[in-house]
Amino acid sequence: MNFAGLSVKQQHVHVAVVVAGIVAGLFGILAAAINPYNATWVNLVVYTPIEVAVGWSFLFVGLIAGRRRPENRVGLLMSIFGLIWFAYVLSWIQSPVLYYLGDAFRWAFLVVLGHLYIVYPRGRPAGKLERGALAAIYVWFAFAVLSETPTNDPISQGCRQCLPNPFFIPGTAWLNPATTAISQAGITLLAFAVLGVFFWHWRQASAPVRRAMTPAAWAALPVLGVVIALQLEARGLLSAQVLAVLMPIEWLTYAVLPVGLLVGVLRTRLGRAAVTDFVIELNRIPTRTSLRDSLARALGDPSLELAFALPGGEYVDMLGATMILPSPGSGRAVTSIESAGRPLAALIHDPAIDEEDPELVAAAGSAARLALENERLQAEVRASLEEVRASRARILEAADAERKRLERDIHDGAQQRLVALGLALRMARDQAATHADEALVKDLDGATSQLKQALSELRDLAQGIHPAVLSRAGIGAALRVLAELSPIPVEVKDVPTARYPESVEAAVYFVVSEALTNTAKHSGAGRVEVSVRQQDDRLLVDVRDDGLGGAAAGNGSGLIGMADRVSVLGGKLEIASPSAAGTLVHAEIPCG
Amino acid sequence: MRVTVADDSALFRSGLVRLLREAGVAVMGEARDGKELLNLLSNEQPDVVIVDIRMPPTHTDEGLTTAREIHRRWPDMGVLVLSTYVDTDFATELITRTQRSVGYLLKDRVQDTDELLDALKRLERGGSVLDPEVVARLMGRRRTQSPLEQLSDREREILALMAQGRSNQAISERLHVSERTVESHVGSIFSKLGLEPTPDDHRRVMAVLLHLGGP
Repeated sequence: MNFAGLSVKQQHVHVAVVVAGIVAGLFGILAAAINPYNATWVNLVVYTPIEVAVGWSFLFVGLIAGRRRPENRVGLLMSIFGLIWFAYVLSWIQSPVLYYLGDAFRWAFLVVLGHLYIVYPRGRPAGKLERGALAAIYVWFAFAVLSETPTNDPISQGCRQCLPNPFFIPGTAWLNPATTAISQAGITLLAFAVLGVFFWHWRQASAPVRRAMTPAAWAALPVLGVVIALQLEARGLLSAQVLAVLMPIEWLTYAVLPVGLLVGVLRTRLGRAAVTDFVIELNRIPTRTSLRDSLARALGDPSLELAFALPGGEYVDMLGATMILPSPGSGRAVTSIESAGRPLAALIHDPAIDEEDPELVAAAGSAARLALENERLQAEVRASLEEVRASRARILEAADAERKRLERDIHDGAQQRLVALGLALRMARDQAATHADEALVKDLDGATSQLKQALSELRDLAQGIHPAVLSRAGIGAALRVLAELSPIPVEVKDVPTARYPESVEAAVYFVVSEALTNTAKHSGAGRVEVSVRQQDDRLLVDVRDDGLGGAAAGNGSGLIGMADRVSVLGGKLEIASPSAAGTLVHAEIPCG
Repeated sequence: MRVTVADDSALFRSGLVRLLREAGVAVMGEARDGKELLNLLSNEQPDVVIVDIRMPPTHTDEGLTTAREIHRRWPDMGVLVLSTYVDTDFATELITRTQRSVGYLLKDRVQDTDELLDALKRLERGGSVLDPEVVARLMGRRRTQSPLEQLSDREREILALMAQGRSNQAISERLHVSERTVESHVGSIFSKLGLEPTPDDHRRVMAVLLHLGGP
């Protein structure tokens, strides 16, 4: 479908409607002036100008809206309202057919008004609810026209100066009171239904749409009041004098309505003004969050998100984490901002902003191009850092897996072989003993004790590479083994019984192991306390001694390696070691 | 005495089997893992089973689960668990959670044939065995206000031997003192630790280990 072609055709229709409305208004002035029943000075000076003003204001305001937003039907509907408004003029012509046509269409403007409110501000029914409401008001109107006019016979009611009704079907006059009552009740019901749909929209709408709807919402309330007053009067609940006061108010209300609708349309112009403010504000933007906030404010969309394009075509958020742009139909709109033909960033926003003003987001994005480029570069750096962090984590994971494999190889290979060798030596020694070969027994005993030493060293080595007890039973059991092996008395105070990811358990183990080694080597401490506690999603590791202090994660200290290990997991390691006041190694490791 | 051996290292298995046979122990079968061992045992039940703690498929603590299964099916069978590393928590759990005849020894301890045979005999009689290294580490664990602090050196020595699963007679032989002397030390240890004396070796080991606190 050629959208531009459609809008050109629609603009022609629109102009025709406006011309017809101008003619109808002029005719209304003329008819009012020459109509002997109408030609009182109050009518001529007060009512007729107001009536014409209402119609024409809808016509012209509709034209302005249509020019500004050719794809939106609100403007056209407003002008159609302006034209239909003059339908009553027909009944001033002394022709039976025109008189009764005018009479039948005297409520038609309410139908157009209902239509306008149902589709405001998009101009099209958005869903089943709106289509249903539209169908209801047109069905009601068809019923009113087809049931009231053919059953209306004013002459038989005793109106002598009335024109005969050419549409009257003889013998149906008795139906007229009932059909009139039904269509009157229908007006009230539908007025509430239309307002219900409108306010439901208002509640569901995003901030920019709501902003556009608010003036129309206020303008709708007096219209509703008048509709109710008319119904009360028809049932004799309200005196005709009160109604006579209310009627000019009703008309004035209709005159105010297009202004309210126009303000809504102009709100998009205010949106552009906000973008202008935003361009000025850009000069002062210091941080990345305020760029997003400023854009959100300028576009009137608090849900606005920024995505930055990486050279590879991926998108990342402000912190460098990968982002998937929403696909069409997901309820979010994406406006891509380019720089030198290359994607720079994407603004993810409420689609309503596009409906209101398709260029607004692109305009704001272009205005912020330099700031966005700056942000994009920062996001790119953060993404690289994130990649580096992930790569460090993978390296550590691979190294840990390798340590585990190595320990397993030592355990299954060399250790078993040496133990078996020990058994063989033992049997050889027993043999030698039975042959009373004292020298050989002595040699074999020496070999056995060396083998025991070798086994013990190999065991320590394997344990240091990867403690089997850690995999088997977790942090608690492994730390108790560490404590048992420490030459300085170690009290293991708190340890979690829960199991954690392998990398987390390994980090806790190696931090404590390294801290205990340092304490034993340098501190001269008399005792050490170890505690591991879980606080929320972090493990807090504390190793505290009562030694000399003065330790630091300096050169040659294994604690640097531990700090690296902890930071890969997103944690931190701190050493507090005031002189002569003991050392506290404190690590916080995310475990969630 | 009849013994069945389970270990995934063929080298160690054959060495152990040879050593046992030389020492006059009847080896009824060899298995590579827990499953194979249970199959062997359902055909023929030995007096004691020697089982490696780390075996396929997970190489972590198959020995423990297998020991539990053996005791569930054959309550009178002794189980000796061998471990390459000292895992105090595991050893304590094994001894305290098992009401039956069970032992825990370091693998290189079996080179000492007399120690091994002594352990097997104690298990055959329904007693318990705990590696001296484990006992030393348990007793070395520092606790504030440990009742162990009140024991004399001699009493600590005797407590350690008890914790390994040795009888008063065995202790008296090892320390070259009379059994009566050992008995009087044991009475003193029990009263200092606030324990009731009992003639049951196994119960004594448990009581001591429980008292030491384990993990």
